[in-house]
Amino acid sequence: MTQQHLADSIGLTRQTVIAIEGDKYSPSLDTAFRIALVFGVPLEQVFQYEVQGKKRQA
Amino acid sequence: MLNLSYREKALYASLVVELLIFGPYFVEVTMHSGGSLTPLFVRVFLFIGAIVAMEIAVAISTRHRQVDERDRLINLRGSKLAYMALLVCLSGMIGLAGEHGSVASGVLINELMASVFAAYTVHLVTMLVMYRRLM
Repeated sequence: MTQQHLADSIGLTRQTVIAIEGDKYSPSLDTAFRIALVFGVPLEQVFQYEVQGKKRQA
Repeated sequence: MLNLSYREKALYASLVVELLIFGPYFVEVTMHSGGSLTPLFVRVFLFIGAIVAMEIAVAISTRHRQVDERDRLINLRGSKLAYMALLVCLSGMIGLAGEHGSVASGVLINELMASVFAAYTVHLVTMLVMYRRLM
């Protein structure tokens, strides 16, 4: 799936998808759920959060 | 060469248009020594006209582009800082007016326009910086 396809599927711009992938921007909960829905996987499989740092994987 | 998004290009264009139209005016006002000044309202109409024409041109060329939550967040942060800049400028104006007792209406209008100019510039620059940082 391309970044543009994902962006179109959830109503984001491609720049925002790039920012989420690069860990520069944390999406809203609604957007996070929609991304997980597009991939057909649970939310925690797409996004992880580490309490110690601000590290989060997309 | 930076890879700029549509939004960044539009912001840069707005900034350049703003600086080109208002920059010389305020330089002229600051250095004013009795020569003829371009009327402020002409600058304002030029500015509004240029921005509207530019936005229409950009909108036509990018019809299918949408605004998302990141764009709105960046716009909000820009607005917040611009509001603070406006408050600082207006406070400065009030302070200066208090210092001098009274201010001529022409000076007051120019100071108000300069405050708006500064706030708008802060808004644009903040958004440009945010787009780079959140990329």
